[in-house]
Amino acid sequence: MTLYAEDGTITISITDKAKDKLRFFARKEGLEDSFGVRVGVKGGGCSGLLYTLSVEKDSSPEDKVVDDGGVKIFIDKKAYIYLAGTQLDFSDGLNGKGFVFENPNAKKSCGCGNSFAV
Amino acid sequence: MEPSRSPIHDAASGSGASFVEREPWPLVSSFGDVASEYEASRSSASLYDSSHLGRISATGADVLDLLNRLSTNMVESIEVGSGARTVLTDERGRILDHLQVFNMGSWTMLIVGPHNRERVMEWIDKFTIVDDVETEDITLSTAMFTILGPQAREKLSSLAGERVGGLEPCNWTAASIQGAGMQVLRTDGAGDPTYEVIARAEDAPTLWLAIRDAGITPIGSDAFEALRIEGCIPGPEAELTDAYNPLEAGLWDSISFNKGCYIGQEVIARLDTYGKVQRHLVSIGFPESAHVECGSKLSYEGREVGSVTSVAQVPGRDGLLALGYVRKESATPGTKLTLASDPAAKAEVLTTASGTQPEAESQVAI
Repeated sequence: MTLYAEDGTITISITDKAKDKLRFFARKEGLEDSFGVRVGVKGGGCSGLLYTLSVEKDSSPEDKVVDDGGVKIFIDKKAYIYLAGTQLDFSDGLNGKGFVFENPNAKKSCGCGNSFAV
Repeated sequence: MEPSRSPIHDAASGSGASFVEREPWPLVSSFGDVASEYEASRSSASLYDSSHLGRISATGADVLDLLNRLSTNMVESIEVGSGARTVLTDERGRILDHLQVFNMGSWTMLIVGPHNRERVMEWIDKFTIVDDVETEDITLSTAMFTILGPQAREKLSSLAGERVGGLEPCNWTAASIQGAGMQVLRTDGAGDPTYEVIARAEDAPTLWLAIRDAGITPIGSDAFEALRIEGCIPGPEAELTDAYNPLEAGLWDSISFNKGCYIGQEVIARLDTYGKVQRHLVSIGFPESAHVECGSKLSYEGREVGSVTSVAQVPGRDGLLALGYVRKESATPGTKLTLASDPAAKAEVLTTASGTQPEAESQVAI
């Protein structure tokens, strides 16, 4: 998996299935198609670090903003190093896990997949 | 610069204290009569200088939320005036610190083991990524006394006011004695109402002398350790280390099993669900002749089953009393053990740590 784009910036990507779901949740929150996906990391969870995910209208000055095929991704600068190369997917079906982070930096993950260690 | 003495060192010295070298400074071992100090704690009230324990001030909007994600108990909902005990555990579910967390309003007080101040602050800092949390070590600018015994509530109340006497467990209030301000925390570490007095270091001698003069007997670490070990209470560095997990230490009251994820939670939940706790903290009585020390190996029917972690001479008791971790099959009160190095030294398991139930674990069929 590529961690850095040709211009040296960190890549974070979203699968088409996850984009569809994100658009669905953005519409539910009245954001129509003008939204960004905020992905972040905070301390805690079984393995020490937890993913956070939300849809928001605007980025903040503390964010790195990445555009993945028309979907904007907002990443807090402090969380950036933990997420390099991460792909956000969506796992559906009866036993699906919902949004899933495929993070090449994660050396360990907990059973539910929401927590990881680097 | 680390002060080399407790804030009440001189006051204690003037009261006939003997000292024992410990980190971070010499602790009072006794005031000359351990038996009287022990007896006062059992029948009246006593005063122990706990200033060597670590005190950390945590500030910021996310303190309790972050601690809730890092430790075993439900602490995110602690209201102003209240507190809780919780355990910081590592990814393996092992103990980093058994700490007390009190919501002081504009800040949160963490009381940690004497050697764990930096470690706890570094651990919190490591996991503060986007959270609004800052920590400051206030150990050296403050003092802390433990007041215990069946008359602790009555005597402290008459000295510091009715608000102190009316404190519920795990609550705190501001109070003063002779104009010296303090915070009084009710912690109930050993059965009867137990209080921790926190004050500015410069006020500590005044407060210590006033409490002593109100008939609350000063005690040293010899008596305090005897009480702790008799109560089967795990202590910093001895039983509360990353060699053990909180279930082995019997810290059930400091664990929430339905609060959600925290570091080490998967391991602890699995140990509980499948009854996989392999050893338990117990108190062990030894005969007078036995030579026991920390690290002594314990045997059951010729097989090694554990080791000793703390030892004390309890006044009025023949032989030493110890704490140790032993395999669960040998952790039931009444089990006869021997010292691995001296099979003639017969010992007996007396109690298991609070809440530990070796015979009634929550085992599920799978």
